[in-house]
Amino acid sequence: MQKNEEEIQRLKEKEQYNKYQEDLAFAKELNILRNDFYYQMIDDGDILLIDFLYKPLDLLSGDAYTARRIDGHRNFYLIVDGMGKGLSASLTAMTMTTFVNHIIDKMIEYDSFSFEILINESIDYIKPILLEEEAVSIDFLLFNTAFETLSYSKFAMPASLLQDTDNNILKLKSNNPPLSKYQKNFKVDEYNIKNINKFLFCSDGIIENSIKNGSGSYADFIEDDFKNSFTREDLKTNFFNRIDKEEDDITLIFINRFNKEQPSIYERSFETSLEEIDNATEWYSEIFDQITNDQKIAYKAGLVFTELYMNAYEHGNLGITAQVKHKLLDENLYFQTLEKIESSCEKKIDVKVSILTYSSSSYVITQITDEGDGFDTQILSKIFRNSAIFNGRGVFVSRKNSFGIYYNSKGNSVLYLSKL
Amino acid sequence: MELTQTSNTLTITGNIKTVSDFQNIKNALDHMISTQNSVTLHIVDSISITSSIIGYFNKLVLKDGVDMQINIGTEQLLELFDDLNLTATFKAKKV
Repeated sequence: MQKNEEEIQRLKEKEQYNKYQEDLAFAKELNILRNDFYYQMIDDGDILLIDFLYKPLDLLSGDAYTARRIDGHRNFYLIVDGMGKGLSASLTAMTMTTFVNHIIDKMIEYDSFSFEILINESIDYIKPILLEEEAVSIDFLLFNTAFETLSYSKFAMPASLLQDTDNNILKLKSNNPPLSKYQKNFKVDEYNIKNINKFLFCSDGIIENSIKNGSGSYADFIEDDFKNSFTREDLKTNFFNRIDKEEDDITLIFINRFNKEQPSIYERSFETSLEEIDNATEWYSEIFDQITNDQKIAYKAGLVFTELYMNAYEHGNLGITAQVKHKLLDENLYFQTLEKIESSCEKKIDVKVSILTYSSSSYVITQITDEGDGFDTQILSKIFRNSAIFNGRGVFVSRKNSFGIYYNSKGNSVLYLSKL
Repeated sequence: MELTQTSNTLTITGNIKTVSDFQNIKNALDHMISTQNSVTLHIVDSISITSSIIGYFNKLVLKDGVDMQINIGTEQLLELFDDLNLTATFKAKKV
């Protein structure tokens, strides 16, 4: 009996240790994947909504990605898919990604970014590490918004999908074979994206996944689903509805561009006050009463509005940090302090609401802008990776009840989507 | 949203959404815990909850030591509590 108890204890300890190591490994993995656009939109002329989906099948993913802002008009994306599954594939993907990010950091530091040099150095770095028969699939992508071009060097990745302003789906095929130890040269091509509204870059995990009833793979559906998707949420919903289970690591980058000058159907500016919060909430609620009869949709949109408007009010215009807020709540001084601070605040909160119809679905686009200093959206990555931490629950609740939330780079304007 | 209360039970009917909802819930609970340390909440049909209320409940339980049990009427709200790792803290369960 004692021996059994000891064995059970030993197994428990082993399980705890493994769990601890798994948590550390996953945290490390997420640190390696740099994403400068976490929950961000690019608001520069048009609005670009940039979304990512990263769903490893196992703890150590054979996929990796990075998304970097090079400068005011160049953005770089990388997707790496190591051969096979397990530790070897993961080591390759993570090693490559770490190196690419390091080179980019140095290039930015010395204001000397070169797409070709980046690719060349990355290949030279990874080749000695690859096994004799190992091959890696990679997307190197560089958007230049000033010249409206996409430079790309795709190594045996699935064709990227582009949707133009006439709703045609165009495929950007790989211009290089899979990267191996013996790679000598590589090709970089450029594509004019002036008339492209939507982009999808992905690893093969999504393409090759079997669909329900064993009748084919998602490759048969991805173009149509992409065409009918306004956001990553649409595509993700369609994909998971078509499959029984995930069979490989899934990584995708979904970018949607729409016209910023789209007329707002409803627009109003509010003073920074508790009284105006009620007015704003009521105004927004009346808008949804006119737009839809679906109470659940209206409630969710209203809840998101409350959360994000409050953020604009207390953190944005009043400049109250999360720590100060918690202290005031603890001491029961929260509301009286808000009233005191707001009396000398002349900043406004702007709200714009518009409706966009896309592929037989309608989306309400709400944008809330304050006049505060903004914040670094990178902190959201900590919230969404660990929903148990104290701060940022409002943003978490908002994400859960909307079809996507996106901040501008400063962090003082947030846009969110509600699907009707 | 509507609130009804007995000595140590607060029943919330309707969707919890606005700052006013938070203030009303807070006022009701502050009054309740001034005389007792154990409360039960019935959130009958709200499918979500605001972060302000979550923060307030958190403070009641973790700082003020209030013994709180939350009975939840909808799967969506229970799922949110699970996502936020709050099920154990608030003794939340589906009824």
